Amino acid sequence: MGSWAVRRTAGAVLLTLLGSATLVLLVQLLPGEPLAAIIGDRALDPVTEAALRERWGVGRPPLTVLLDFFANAVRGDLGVSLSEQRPVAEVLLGRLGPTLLLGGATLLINFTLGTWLGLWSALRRDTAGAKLLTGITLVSYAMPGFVIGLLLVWLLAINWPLFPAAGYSDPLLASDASAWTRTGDVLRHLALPLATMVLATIAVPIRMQRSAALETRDATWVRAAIARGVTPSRVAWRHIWRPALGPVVTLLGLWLPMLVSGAIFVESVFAWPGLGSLIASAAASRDIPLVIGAGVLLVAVVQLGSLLADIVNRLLDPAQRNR
Amino acid sequence: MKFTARIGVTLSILLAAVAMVGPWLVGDPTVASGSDFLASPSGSHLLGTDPFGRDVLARTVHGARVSLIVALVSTVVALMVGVALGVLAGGHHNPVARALSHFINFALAVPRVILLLVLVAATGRLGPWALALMLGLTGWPTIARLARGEALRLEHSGFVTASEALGASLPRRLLREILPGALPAGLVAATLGIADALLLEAGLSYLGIGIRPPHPSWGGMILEAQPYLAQAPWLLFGPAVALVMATVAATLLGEALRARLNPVQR
Repeated sequence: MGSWAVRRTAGAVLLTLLGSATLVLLVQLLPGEPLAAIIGDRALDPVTEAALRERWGVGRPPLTVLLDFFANAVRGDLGVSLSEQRPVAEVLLGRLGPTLLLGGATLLINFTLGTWLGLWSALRRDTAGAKLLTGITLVSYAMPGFVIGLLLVWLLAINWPLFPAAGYSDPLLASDASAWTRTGDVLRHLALPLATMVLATIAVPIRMQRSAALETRDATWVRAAIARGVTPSRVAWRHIWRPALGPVVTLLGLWLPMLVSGAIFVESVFAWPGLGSLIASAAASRDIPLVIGAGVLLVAVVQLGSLLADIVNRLLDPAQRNR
Repeated sequence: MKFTARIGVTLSILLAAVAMVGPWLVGDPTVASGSDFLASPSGSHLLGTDPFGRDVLARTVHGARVSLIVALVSTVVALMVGVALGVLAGGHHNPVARALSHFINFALAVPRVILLLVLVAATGRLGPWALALMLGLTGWPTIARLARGEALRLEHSGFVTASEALGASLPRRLLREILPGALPAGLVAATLGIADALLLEAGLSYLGIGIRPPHPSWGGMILEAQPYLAQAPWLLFGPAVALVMATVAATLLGEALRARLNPVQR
């Protein structure tokens, strides 16, 4: 386990570095020096402009720019955002909280509700309810997050105004409101983005859990347990679900990129002030330092998630644990 | 043929027909009617009109052409790159193949949307062909992974060993023996990838960084519909239904193709 974990972690770090390098080099190597044009288009004061040109290597070899980028990134310096005129790291830090709230809540629901629904539909494979669920997962799989989000806004914020249509908190909230009122306000704003994220991404855990449980459902040990008179719910959780858990945890790693790309569109629909809407608006305003900074952070998050999933999987599977 | 496969094929043919013939049957998507701003669906405008008085049906149908062209062209690009790299990485043993394998794994680890956002930030909004190329050049890794798996399997199969024993050169083995065998797996992955390309193109256009105007695009129409959701929800329904229909069609078509080409895998 020990040496494996070290190797796996080193691999994740390497992939993060290579991914970040790709993003930085992409901009350097595109024809026409795009960054020079973008900097030129903005009316910046000469000092800032000179610093930007120096930093992003207008006329410097791409590899030097890349090494400088890493050297600065290690010190927490990711450059200055063109559109916000503030350090990129500072902008990113301010957006981290809302993204973790939305992403964490989505993960939690998908891996409890999604797992349960997947297991349920595998056990009741031929019932109308399970077939309906399969149909719903197909549609949710095919429906992009931003369309689901807009439909929910239309239904639950406009036709039937239950929840706010956008934002993170009510700007009109009294400044002396209690912590409870503030939390409730954020939760009310969280409702629609969260429902959208769950609907847009839950199809995958349901399908994976379903097919994994369908395989263990007919295993010999399950028949043996039923014959011994083990209660149905214990058979379901202990004998069918437990061995089917591995593939689903592996999925967590593969599924995190989907969550990240989902967040980019869903946060944009609801003007949720997270990293997703940040990178989207940064791309729209062609703020390259900010896009790269946010991109590097998201690549790192995806790698970290896949690393954690692999480690948990290792711990879950007795056959692999001691290797 | 399974029922879902039939739906997939029918929907695909229908959409392709709309994309090819439709633009001649509906009006000009860029012409404003002059007086009917935000008109609700009626006999003269079946899906209503937008804030500029343009016909939503005409824009949806023209959008179909753009969306499908982008999705198909990008998928062809991704298929060619993916199958070529997959076969080279899996069809033989040498340092080049190993390096390519690592490269494919690495490419799979970088989220596609982030690459696209960085690209678009650097280049600005693109026309349909350039966007299709970008989508294709970021879409090959899943295809390459499957093609590599298939090539690895074939490399150890009897007929490839036989052709090696008969003195066939490595390029010949790769091209004549392994490529034809790895192609179906790549084709299935590519068909399923059409749905991803459709959604990404629409998504980027929704973020306001997709296809450059004046080409009507479903994602762009959805973006324009958002401020008018309360007064004119029909602006959302046309493009949203079209987009979901196209994605479902591509997904079902991919599943049907998988069932056809690989009966063992269900």
